[in-house]
Amino acid sequence: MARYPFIAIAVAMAATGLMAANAGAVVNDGLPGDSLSDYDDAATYRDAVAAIDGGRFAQAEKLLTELVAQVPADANARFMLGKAREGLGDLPGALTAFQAATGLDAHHLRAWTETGLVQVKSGDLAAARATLATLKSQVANCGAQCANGEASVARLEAAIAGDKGAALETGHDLLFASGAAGDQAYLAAVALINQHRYEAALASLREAEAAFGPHPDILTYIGFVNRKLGRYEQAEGHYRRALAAAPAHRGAAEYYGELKVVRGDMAGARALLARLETLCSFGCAEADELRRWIDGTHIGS
Amino acid sequence: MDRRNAYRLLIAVAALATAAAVARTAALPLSEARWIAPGHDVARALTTEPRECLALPADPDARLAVEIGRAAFRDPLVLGGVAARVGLACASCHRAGHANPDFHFPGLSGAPGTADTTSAITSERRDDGQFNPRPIPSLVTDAGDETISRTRTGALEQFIHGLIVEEFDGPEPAPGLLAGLAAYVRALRSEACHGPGNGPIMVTDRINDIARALDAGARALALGDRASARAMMSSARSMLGALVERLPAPDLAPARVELRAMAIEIGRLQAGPVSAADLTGLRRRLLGKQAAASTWQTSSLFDAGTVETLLGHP
Repeated sequence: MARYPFIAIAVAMAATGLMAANAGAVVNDGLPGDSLSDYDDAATYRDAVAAIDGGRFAQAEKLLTELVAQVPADANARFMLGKAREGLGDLPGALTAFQAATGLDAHHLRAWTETGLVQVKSGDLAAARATLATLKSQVANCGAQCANGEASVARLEAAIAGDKGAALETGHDLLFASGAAGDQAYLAAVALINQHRYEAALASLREAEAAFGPHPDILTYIGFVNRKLGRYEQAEGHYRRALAAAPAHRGAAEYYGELKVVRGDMAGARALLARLETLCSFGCAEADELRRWIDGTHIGS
Repeated sequence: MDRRNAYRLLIAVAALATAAAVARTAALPLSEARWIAPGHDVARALTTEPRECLALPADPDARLAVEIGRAAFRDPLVLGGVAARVGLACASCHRAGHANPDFHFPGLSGAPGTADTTSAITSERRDDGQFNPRPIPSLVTDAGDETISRTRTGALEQFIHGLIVEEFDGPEPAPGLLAGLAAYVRALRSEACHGPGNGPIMVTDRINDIARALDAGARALALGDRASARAMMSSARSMLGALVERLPAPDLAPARVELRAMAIEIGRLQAGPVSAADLTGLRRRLLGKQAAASTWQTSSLFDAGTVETLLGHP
């Protein structure tokens, strides 16, 4: 019988004590929302979201400018930078940031929507209509990955049609970025992964990422889901980002190593196993599992 | 309610419960602190446990099997899958073989001391799509009073095999390991219970546990059972990790370094050539720490007062 690697709250809880004891590394004490302080980039993102939510846009812009310099490939950081600039009344600056977010992540529906809304506010309705067309196309194409696409389309359509409420309602709608929403999205992703519903899991993980920013637990599982979907380049990109944020992240090292096995890079897989063995003085499941992949004795895919 | 909505409800409940639990125990750098139900006495749960009611057989081979099972019972890596990754061992649910009324795992537990053994969180193979946690049973029983027969040949082994491989999605257990776990559970007898129900957890007892695992490993090696020996080394390493977690005080840094070095040495032996003498030597070195270890107790997280202080309680 085929078996599948299970992720789970492990995920969430993984390694607490063992990670702390093994590596002198951060203690991951639960869900991503509980460990934001352990990771600099995620903590900066959290502080910036709180600043936007509290109307402290200058502080938020400063934090996000630093974060974007640190993680230039992170679409959510660019998106939040756009929100901060919008709060400051810097519409051209906001537009640049939102467009940068869509350039990094074509499925970032919130960034497409905000791009269009800023264009409406700037009086450039032609550009807003073009953005709306792109948004509709993205919603049609990205399927289960993109949740609430219709609502985004409806909001931009209303703004273009002259509904000022829809256009102006852009400053403080950050409920999606709350810790509770992020943790719930993360746990939903765990269950969906275990049911092999990977596209839907990706949508949930993207929601968790929007809430928590570049958190290594979330990046790792976005990588994992992409691997299961056969998107190896994207998987590798997310594993590398997770390890950049947290070099001692055992799950990221394990799954990146498994990806290397899948791609035939056994030397790369062994290097990651060596890293895990250094991290796991007291033994760990991640090293055991990657060792089984390298030996060819693992079960599942 | 369809299956997806059932999951979402379960997940929402789990998230709330986790948030509450984490807020309470975040100050404690302990895996074990995460399995304590919200509202329960964290210091008591972490520093006391039931007496182990173990009827050790007189026959050396039977005794070795029990010792192998006893060590494996305490090693999360035996279970594999999610349990191994989060640090859950058999002993997490069955403290010293008893039930654990303080146990709570987000998404798996309902009331404290319960767990859903047919959940997708631990394995798809027994996932029934329902959230149906049940009370964790004590494994300490009277003869003839067991849910799973301990006398019918192979019944207990079959049950434990299914539990590891299907319930927890773990790796296939080696024959000696499976036999050991069954022997250990068979040896948990109510007539072997002596003294009061709960007692303090002592650093020195934990060191003895690790020494027993190393001794079992040495004996298994002497009998040519390398798979069981490696499992004993794995258990010794896991237990060393759990011990080091309990010693976060700055003045215990040298002890942590030494115990970690010992774990690394065991890991090296686990991966390469190893002799019974290697493990016996390690056991002797470890037991040589007992006098010093007895002085660690009051500044360790085996001490209720220290736990309370870390939790910020007056």
